[in-house]
Amino acid sequence: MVFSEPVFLFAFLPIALALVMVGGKRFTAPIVLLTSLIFYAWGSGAIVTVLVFSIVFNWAYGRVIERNRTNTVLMIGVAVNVLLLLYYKYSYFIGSNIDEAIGTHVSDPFKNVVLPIGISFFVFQAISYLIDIKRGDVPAERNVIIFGAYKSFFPQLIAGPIVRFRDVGEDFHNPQISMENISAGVARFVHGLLKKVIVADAAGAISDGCFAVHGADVTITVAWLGALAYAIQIYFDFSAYSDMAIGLGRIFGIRFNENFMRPYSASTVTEFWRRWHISLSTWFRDYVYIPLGGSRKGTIRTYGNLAIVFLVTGLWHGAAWTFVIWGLYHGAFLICEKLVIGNAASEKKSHVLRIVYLLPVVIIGWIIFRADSLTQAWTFMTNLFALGELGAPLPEPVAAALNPRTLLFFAIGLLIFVAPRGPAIGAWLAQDPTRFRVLSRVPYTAVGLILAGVFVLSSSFSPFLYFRF
Amino acid sequence: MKQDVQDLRGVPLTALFRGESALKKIQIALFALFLTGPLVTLSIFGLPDLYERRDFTSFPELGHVLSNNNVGRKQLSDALVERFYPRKWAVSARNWIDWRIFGFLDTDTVVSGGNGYLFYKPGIVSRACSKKDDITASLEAYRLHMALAAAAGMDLMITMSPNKETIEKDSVTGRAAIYAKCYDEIRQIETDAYQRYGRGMFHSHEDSIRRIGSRVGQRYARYDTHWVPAMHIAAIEDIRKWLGYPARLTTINTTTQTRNLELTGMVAQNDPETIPDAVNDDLAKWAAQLQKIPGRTVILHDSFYMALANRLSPHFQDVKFIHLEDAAAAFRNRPNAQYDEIVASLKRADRIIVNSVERFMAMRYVNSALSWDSVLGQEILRRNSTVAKARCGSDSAADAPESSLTLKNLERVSLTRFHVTAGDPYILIEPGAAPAGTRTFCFSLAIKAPGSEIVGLAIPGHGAAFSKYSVVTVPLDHQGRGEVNLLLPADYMGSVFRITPTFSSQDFEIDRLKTGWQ
Repeated sequence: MVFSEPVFLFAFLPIALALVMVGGKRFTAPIVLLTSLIFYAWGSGAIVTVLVFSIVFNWAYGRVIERNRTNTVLMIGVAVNVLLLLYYKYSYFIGSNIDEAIGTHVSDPFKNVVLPIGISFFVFQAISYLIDIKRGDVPAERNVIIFGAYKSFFPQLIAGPIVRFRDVGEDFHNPQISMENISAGVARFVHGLLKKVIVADAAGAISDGCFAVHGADVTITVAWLGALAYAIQIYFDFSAYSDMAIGLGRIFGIRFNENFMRPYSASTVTEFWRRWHISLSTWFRDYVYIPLGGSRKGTIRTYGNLAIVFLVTGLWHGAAWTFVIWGLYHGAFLICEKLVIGNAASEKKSHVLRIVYLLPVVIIGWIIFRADSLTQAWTFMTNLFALGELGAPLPEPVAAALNPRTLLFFAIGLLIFVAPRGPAIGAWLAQDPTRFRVLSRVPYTAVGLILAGVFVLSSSFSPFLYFRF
Repeated sequence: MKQDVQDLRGVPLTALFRGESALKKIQIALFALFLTGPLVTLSIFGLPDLYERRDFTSFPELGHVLSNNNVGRKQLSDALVERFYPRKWAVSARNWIDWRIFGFLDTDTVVSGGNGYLFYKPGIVSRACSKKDDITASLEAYRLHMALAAAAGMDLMITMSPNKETIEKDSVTGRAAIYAKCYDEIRQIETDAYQRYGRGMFHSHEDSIRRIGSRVGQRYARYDTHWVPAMHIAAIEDIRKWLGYPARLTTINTTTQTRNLELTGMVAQNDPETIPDAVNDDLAKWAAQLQKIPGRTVILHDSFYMALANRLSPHFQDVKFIHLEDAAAAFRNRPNAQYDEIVASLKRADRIIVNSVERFMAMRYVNSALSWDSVLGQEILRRNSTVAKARCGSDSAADAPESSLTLKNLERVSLTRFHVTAGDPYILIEPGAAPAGTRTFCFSLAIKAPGSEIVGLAIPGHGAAFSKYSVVTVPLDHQGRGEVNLLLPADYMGSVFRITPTFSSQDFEIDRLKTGWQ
């Protein structure tokens, strides 16, 4: 079930909200746990048991760590979570690569392993929880219902942000449900819904059309259009999901941290990663980069640590070589920036640098990320400069995607993409309730819901991109 | 703010709605209205009528909903949402925005072209380049139908209503052109094949549509996939001419109809189109003056002739119209009274006319209303078999010579018994060249194949290769027993044909396998 799906909007969400409203704060956590498990089971069936296992194991093991804060005890808990991820997400990928290298059939038993939706998110949440207990940053949760509600909380369960218990644990004990939070949450949710159904889906249609083209049919126009459309789609799609998750969390009285801060306004790759999928990059910083030594153990180790972090960042997104290369590609630019600009890389502000360096680097990165294979990625990248094909007619899948409506919505996305500082309407609407802001929420909600309703109800299913990760 | 986040432990949260700012209440009420909109409209307006020119998604079975796979749950969700008014309004609004603001339409069923014309999208999209081989092969099925019918002496006439895209080709521009890149190419393949094999058995209304259309000013409706009602004159004139009773309506007076045409599903509801129609009285008087076409006629048709039926009936002495979809449904759900009635009508008929729109012409002979598994296919087989039994006596058909048979994936264990040695067992028969002066080829088979329900005969025509579409399937009884008697025109026969005696791996018996030229 996804947030832009009618069954979520018109059945699940009103029922869940009504139950919480009627049940009162005392029953918020049990209601959240129950509805979240139903939410997950609706999409994944019996695989919800993996989530239930993760809840029960990590809740119980958190208490074990609290009593015995040794590295060995922690490592066992982390290993169980990593094994879960390895089995469900990477076993077939690893096996098939071994098979290809030495001609075995070790991947056969893993061929039919079904990937539980959002496993990368809930496993990372669990690992951060166990490590934070070991570090003494957060006490182990006594109440399994509270912990279960946190772990399975449907707004962030399947596509993040990766919420840490130390940030929201208190909210689950005492959810801050108020008119202001509901009002701000609704505005943020509607903003996310609009971004998804207006811009992300339009850009997605164009990008899908372009990436459906292979081989000699990929021209310079197809390559640039596909790359730009995907850059816009992935930002608007994923940040829309985060907006909706943050908004829904707020309605339920749970505050999530921001996950995006206008990443395309960055001037360097270093700055980009401080603005893009913040909950993931800070997770890797806190639980991988710093434990590896961060920048404290000399230049070579620092670069090595960065390379490791970006390798696993790539792998986290999916079990495919395109993701591995994409991660290393970003890591390489980050290391180069450190070499050339030094620590100022994250604060460098230059519109020229952004246009001539950051945006092309990111766009080419998205080609690697989006392509079905490295071969297709290479075809797109080489055709970015194939000027001879400039006037070639558009292949049918691309022409079919380019109707006046999707072009207009895509152009809106493109303007925001190119503008040095795009508007942050969603976050602004949800800030402190000044009279003007509260007044603005009403027409924004009304118009937004009508527009979103038209496109949600009249369209076919359009899942969020980050579901697969 | 402080009061906003007060601890209301144990207090129902609905208490929060007291004393808050009106603006927040309005905003939250709008959100609540949005979330509950479908249910609210259901209680006020009930269920909408069908829209988007398709049936509602059916509700899945409970087991399907509860299964691990979420397909059943997705189906349940679709089935519910489609039955709510807000979805209908949303589809209507989206179409309105696209059509009125952005100047295009591109849905599952409709795509916009030039000059304000809308086209039925599947009609264009299904004619993709990738379908070329399929179309070529499916024409073989048509050819085989016609060969068996001709050998049986059936008076079978096939008429075709041209596609709107064919007649209004100049308007297949804009978004329609994106999907219609192979349209002309596919059409040429069909036209060539019809001319090559047709021998006058196939007739298109195209020329008459163009002729009458130029007189009444419009040929096809802009928002609908059908010809305008004035084109009924063209169809009636054509049918009379093709059956040997030519007549022309000399003076064409027209009137107009203003209709909410439904091709677009939604948009056209408030966007009526005025289209030319023939004057009913003129048509009635004209029919009354003419000689009625004698004999019992059955017309199997689609939507083009459905609207024509009332105006065409007076031209026949005895005519029965059967919609192809009704016939297909009756065949699927047999036994039933409607099926019996249709079969009886076809048996009694002196003449059968089949009409189909161009886009479905080839494929209908393969997978739907006109295939061997249809009332028409069965009637052709029945009539052919009757004639074959009568004409292929012991003089004209003899046991197929051993030298003309090739066994594949099976071995002969006795004179009549065959053992299946591998999957896909079949027998190839090479009848050789037709001796001079012979006009038909006789084929007779008596088989007992337990575990099978049908026997398959792949009979590619002269110059054609084997394809799944050149297969005649003949049903076996519940014991796997069946008899096939066929008579084929000598000029149709290719150099080889194939029997698939069983679709199981069990041994089978062939009591009779006779071939011969006549």
